[in-house]
Amino acid sequence: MQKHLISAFIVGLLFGIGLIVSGLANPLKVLAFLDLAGAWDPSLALVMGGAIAVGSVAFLLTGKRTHSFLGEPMRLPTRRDIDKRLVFGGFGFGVGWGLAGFCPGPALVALGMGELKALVFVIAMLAGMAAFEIIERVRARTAFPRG
Amino acid sequence: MLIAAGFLVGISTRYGSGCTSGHGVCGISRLSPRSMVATAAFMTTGFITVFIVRHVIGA
Repeated sequence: MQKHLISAFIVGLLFGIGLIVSGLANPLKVLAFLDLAGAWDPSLALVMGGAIAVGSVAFLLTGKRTHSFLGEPMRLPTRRDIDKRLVFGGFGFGVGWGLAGFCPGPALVALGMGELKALVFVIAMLAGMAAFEIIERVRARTAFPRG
Repeated sequence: MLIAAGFLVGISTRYGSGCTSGHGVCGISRLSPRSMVATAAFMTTGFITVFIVRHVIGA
């Protein structure tokens, strides 16, 4: 097996374990974090802060590298513009997150743990992603009609 | 409810080009202005949604 695949597997494993240990894979914990007016559980803010602290060091070490240590091309985002899609995408994401207590990564972890709710959520999430593709393709076709 | 939430998360992740981990952790770590805006946006509506579900509808 190629090195970068093993590396991806280990990193994914680490990420998944992190989500389970921190409680992010537990929707009840997430909803308790979002419930400012109830019995607010701020611990996930610390999880996020910790993750950002580690991430900052990691990205600092990354510097301006164009390739990873294993020689894979680094594809870091370069956009800096704020557009409507970004803002409304963020708004919509928060509503879905607040309704279910799941976001994409943790939902996949919960699915791996055999949670039925996560299965329903992930299928609906994939449908949402597919809907985006379809809408964008239809819009591209209407904007630039071909023959 | 779960289906609507999943659908919304799926379509919004694409429109907003990222999620809690992508924008909230990786993006902020890289000091990306787009990620800071997206994170502020989803945290805000996340808080509001839970408030409405638990304290307005569920009250």
